[in-house]
Amino acid sequence: MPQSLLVAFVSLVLAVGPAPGFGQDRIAADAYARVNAALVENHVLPRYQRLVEATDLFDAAATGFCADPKTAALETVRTRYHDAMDAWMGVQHLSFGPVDLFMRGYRFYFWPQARGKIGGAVAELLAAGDAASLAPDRFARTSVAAQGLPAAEYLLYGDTAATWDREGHRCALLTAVSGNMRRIAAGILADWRDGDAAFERTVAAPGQDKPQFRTHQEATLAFFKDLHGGLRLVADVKLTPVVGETIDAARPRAAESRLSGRALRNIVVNLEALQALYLGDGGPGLGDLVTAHGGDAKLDPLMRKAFDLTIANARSIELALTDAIEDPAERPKAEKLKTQVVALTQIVKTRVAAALGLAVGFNALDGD
Amino acid sequence: MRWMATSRRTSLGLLAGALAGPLLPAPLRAEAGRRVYLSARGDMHGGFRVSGFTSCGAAVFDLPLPARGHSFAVRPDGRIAVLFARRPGAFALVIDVVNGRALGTFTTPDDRHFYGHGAFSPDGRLLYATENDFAAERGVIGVYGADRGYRRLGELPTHGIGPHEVRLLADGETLAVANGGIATHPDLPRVKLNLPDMAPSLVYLDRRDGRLLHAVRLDPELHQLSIRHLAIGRHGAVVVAMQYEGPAGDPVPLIASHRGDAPLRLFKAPAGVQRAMKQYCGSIAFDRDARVIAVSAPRGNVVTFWEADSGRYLSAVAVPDGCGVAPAARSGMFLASSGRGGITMVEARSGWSRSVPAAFLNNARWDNHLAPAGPG
Repeated sequence: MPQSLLVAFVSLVLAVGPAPGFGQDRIAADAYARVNAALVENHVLPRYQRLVEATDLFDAAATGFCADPKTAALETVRTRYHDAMDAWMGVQHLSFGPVDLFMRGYRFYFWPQARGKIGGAVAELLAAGDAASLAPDRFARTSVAAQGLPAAEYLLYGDTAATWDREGHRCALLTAVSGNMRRIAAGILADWRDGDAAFERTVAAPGQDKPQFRTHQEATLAFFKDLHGGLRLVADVKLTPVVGETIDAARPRAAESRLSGRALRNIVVNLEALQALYLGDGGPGLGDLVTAHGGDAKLDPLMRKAFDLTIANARSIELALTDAIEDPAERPKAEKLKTQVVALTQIVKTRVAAALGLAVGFNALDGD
Repeated sequence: MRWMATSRRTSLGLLAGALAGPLLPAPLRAEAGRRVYLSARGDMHGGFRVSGFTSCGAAVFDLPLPARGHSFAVRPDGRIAVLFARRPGAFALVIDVVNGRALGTFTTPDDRHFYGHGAFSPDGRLLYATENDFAAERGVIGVYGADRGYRRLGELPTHGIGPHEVRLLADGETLAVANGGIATHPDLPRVKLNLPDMAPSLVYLDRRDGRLLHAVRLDPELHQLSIRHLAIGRHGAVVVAMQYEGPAGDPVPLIASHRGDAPLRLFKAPAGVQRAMKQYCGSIAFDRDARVIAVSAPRGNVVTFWEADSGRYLSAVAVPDGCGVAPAARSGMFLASSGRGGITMVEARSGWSRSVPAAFLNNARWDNHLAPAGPG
């Protein structure tokens, strides 16, 4: 990547200064409504559909493997785990609506909150050996740390993953996890799409008497918060504490998906999903509200360039993130990636919020 | 904890600027009997400051901060206030409210950080501050000797996670602590680690020996209702303002009152007010006579008012990103601050309000809390 372009982008972003004044009512309600509807149709539903398909395949692979565990079949389960992770990383930023019900998000992917609790929760269930506790209804109420993808990763890649005991509890737990994930994904999609109470309708029809959104602008704010929150998660949790200030301060053990070695892959998929939320995933996205109504003409080209450069840089890293941060040759790319995502987060919080006509104060994104 | 140590040196270095004195050209001294309102704020260049001003909007002081401030402990005589860093910050700034000067700074130990609230003992000699013992994932009250250079003398466990606001009851011995229930760690400063099994509580501690006098909890189905802020009323009444971490749209109570051994009494909001508050309260304060309470809901851009004894809803006023609330000099009246700039004066029973006309107030982005101070 041309170094000068990158430097230009970072310095441009960091020089933004305070947000321009809020353009109250500059964007009409139906403009917000049009983008919200398009994002549900082109971004939310297809991505949850992919999650449903990926978890179906993962569950089928796990069930098949446990019926007849051969080494080749374990590799199939691992492949399907990666597909399921890809699908989840493509929706990890979506935090509102059906994923917010029944602790589905935490049960599917308890991270970074788990912080070393996964192994303990899994070991406890394995040691207990209580088949009844793995029945779907009871399993859905067990420790969230044992219910989703991090537990599956631990079972498939953890220290003891090589010793599969067909008679033991390990397969029973793996299929309990895969079945649980399948039901959670199906529930999220169904609650967005199906029936009179579908969340799709909640987004489409806000009102002063509605508990979720009073206006179309509030629903757009929910999408905006997910754009900002997704970037902040990558910047503050997936990169900053892992990359460290210097090569000696690199902390590979803090990386996401360390056991399955896919920290960088997660970041790439996250960034592509966030870019898609901005661009619209084939229809109008948040960026269309910036260009069509903005008094900030340079912002949309900057955002497009920033996403392109950041994703290209992430893709150019040739080692696993955990190795790259300790490799003198590859580390500069990882440091640059951190700087780029921090800058993108900042520009979204200041200029994009203002261009979208959204008031983002001390409390909107992060309270106390 | 190299990271913490580095950040603390930086804090102290930057604060040296604050110690040089107020930056206003001609600081207005707080006159005897005059109330000074204190608030942390953001300036228009991305920096952070702490200010004192009168209800007319005259600036008394305006000092730079190294990072976002949060709330204050005000000494009972009103002359000294301590500003605490916003979590997970570790600095505190001691302010001479009367002369508008920074007197000094102090920090937590490296293995603790402030949550942003504190309270003085009745004689002003001890300062109590809510802190995070993050390695052990437990809340503590740090005890500092205000008459000994704010040396840390010890700590009291809060018997919960994430203690946020602490206040002293009128008996002078009982600390009321809002254990918000949310575990955080400075390595991941804004990540909430335990929302699925959080367990908030309101606890009463004997400040002399740290004894747990009483712990009050919500019903199990409301365990994701974080008890964050509280205010002290008459005859041992405590009111709390809460923030919900569960699904958006759940019609959960956000305000409750408590006294003695009784269970929490949950306030019922009219449906429209309930929706407007967006499941998130920012601060709570009694009026001068402790009959009316103000509860801000900054995500809903609204400040609400309630009758303390009955829990009856009185009125609401629109304040953009309005979070700080404090009693005004007259019964039933409050000041409310906006994160977008400006201070609003409100009469709670009628819902009458007007913006205080002062450029200084309008050009500051007021942070979460507004505290009354000043002698008399």
